Amino acid sequence: MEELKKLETELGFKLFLVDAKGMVKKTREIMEEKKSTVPLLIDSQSYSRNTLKAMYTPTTFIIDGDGRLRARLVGGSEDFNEVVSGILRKI
Amino acid sequence: MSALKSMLILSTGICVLLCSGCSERPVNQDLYIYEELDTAAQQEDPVTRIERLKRFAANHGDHPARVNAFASIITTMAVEMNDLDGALDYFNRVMETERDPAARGELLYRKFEYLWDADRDRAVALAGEIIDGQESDYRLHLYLCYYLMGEDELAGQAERCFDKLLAIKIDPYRDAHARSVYGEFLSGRGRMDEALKILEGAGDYPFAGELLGSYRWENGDREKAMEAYIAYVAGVPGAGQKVKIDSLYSVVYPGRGDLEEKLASRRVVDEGVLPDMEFSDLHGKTHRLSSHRGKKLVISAWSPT
Repeated sequence: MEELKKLETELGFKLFLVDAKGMVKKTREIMEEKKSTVPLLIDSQSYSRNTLKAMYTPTTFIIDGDGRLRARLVGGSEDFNEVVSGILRKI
Repeated sequence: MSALKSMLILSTGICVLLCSGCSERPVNQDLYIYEELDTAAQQEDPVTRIERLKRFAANHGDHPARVNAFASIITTMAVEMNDLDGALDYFNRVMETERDPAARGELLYRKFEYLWDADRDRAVALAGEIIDGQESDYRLHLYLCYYLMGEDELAGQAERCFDKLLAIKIDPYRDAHARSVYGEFLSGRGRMDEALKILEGAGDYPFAGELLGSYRWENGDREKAMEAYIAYVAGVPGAGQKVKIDSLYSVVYPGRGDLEEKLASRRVVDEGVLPDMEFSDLHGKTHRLSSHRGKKLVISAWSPT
């Protein structure tokens, strides 16, 4: 995700992580260990589960400038950033 | 008359202010509430932990985190204090007052999950009660189906579970997910004709595409197999290597070289404007999704594991 974050300015997007587990101490430790600078949102209202419909983690959602859900990608892969960049360029 | 009217307007205004203050919890409180929960749940002494968690649940009875506290109390009693009867008694008392279907579903799932390891017969009996009962939480039933479908001797109960799961009114995406898992179950039991009917009702759901693609390929319907595989790999980018989509595509469409283009087109959908939401981040800063309008967002749902 840190690599993807580096593309924020070039591709004009904002990256967030969202965590529905509510284990903030453990999450903070992991984020610090990974030296992650991606904002992590605490999803107390199960937005990712009920509105974005995340059935697995990780699932990544791409939303356009009008607030419309334009892509849903399950899992990760070596070419993940390339796939996300392709979608961002297309929408 | 005019003074009375002014008084009414003033008192109405005060009521509105008070009510809005009561019902709208500042979102950055979520961070502090979950930190309080973590502190309570991490108490080393189980008795102290249970006391702290009960206090937490009492203080935050309208917050979704109460479910985590209830679950932690039940696990502590059952596992660390070896008091399964006490844990189940506590669970029953919580369920007497808990009205939120999702919270009830979460708690019932935790109970089932615990019993599955500790006392399989009771777990199976509980699953039967849930399937035949009034609970209607999608996730609860989905997870029950996952457990039951893995055991040959529970296939009949798994099937009843899937029947109920598919009857639960939910959005098309989650309905397709349920159909995909049910199709996998039927296929695993050699009932491919029934599986196909279920999977074909799963629309473009990517994981349904894996099984459909494989079945169609084996049966010589290669163009249709490619359609299904493209839906699968478009939604699950890492799956391309697993099903060797490049090779299969070049067999069906030699020399075309447009697979990436097809995958890219398939990935872009339009599911409409999302409802707005405000979140707290790990540092207590609030983020409202609509404040980013005009800019694209990439949001990754993640679990700390």
